[in-house]
Amino acid sequence: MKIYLTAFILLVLQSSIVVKNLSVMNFTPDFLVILIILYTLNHGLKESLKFSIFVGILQDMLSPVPTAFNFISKLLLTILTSSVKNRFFLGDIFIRSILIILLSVMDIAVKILLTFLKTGIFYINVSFFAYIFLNFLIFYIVQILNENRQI
Amino acid sequence: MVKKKGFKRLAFFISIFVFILVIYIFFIPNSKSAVLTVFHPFLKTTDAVYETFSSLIKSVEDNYRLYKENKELKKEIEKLKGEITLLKQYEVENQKLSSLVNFKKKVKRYTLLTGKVIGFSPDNWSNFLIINLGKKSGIKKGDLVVSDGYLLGIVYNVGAFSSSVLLVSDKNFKIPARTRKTRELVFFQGKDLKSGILKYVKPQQDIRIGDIIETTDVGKNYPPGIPIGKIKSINYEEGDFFKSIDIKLDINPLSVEYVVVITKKEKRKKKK
Repeated sequence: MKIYLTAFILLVLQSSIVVKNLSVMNFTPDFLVILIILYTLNHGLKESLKFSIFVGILQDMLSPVPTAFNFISKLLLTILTSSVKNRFFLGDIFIRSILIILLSVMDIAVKILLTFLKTGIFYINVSFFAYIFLNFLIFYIVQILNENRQI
Repeated sequence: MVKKKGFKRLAFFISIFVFILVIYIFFIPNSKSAVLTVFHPFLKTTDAVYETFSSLIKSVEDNYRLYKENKELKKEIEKLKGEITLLKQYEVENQKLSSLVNFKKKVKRYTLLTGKVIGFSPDNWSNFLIINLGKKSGIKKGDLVVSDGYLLGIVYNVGAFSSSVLLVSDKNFKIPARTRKTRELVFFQGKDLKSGILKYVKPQQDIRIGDIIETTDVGKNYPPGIPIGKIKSINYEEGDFFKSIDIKLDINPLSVEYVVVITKKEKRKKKK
């Protein structure tokens, strides 16, 4: 329950203060993506799927246009994180942080594809790197702060 | 045996996924205004707390009274800019119509409401704002939102106390428009924060670089004459059905504090 409340608070903060103050090239880090990855790394697939479905739906519900972008991308993110976790040893903080680069790239790819299917606009921008870098940076900082704690 | 169990689990997850997706896409969009109402107190509180802290910091640097006065003036300026935009269009319309003798002038009345931005899009793939005006303030779905004299977006979902505004930069934003100089009818679609595109422009249409794209009341009852952006580039190759046109947008949603919502006045029912 605590994690669900955390996600809700993060969403409210992300929709207000974070966007205003942490944007680089009009791109903001997605704290909810980071939270889902951290949660999946420390919990089982079933629990993580429940959590990511909740977060994805909540984020999509706030968007005015009927969409399921976040729901689909966050679900895939959880499945991928879970499979990577089971196949590789992710003991080192730096390796875990590298993982978020790959997952952010996947997140972008899924959203580019879904945007293209919905609107017919194929959009790739250099500022996507800002999104990946910000996610990496925040994930790395959170990992250092939470080294010995489980979420 | 293990394989069968794994397959059953997978089938179970897929069926749950499909079920949620169907419910989600077909039924939930209608209840989005309820979500806005739920989120409103949280966003408003966060915004209020943030505003308080930032004003405290600012008051150290500046005079607090001046800061407040400035905020009020900003609100007033936004309202006046919106009024000027509408009046300019009426001026053009008036000049044209005065030359016609037997013409019944249609007078459309709009109300301008000033709202404050209390929330932004939480992800980078949709461009929208949440403002503190809702059904109680009298705004409706489809009302246009103006900032700094330019079209900022359209009211898409209306909650009781807040509404979400889809920005012109969003890829889902589509609106009929007109070129200001040549009066050609075009169709605008958002692309990103700095640009948009014009769709279905035929080769014979007179489109010029630098011309302003503005709203039109053709098709839908939008207030006409609100500038959207400027034509940046035109590409056309022999044999193409349509011209490829890029529009330059001048909006920065993160710097917008106040917006003006142009809402149509409801007609009063005649008393028998």
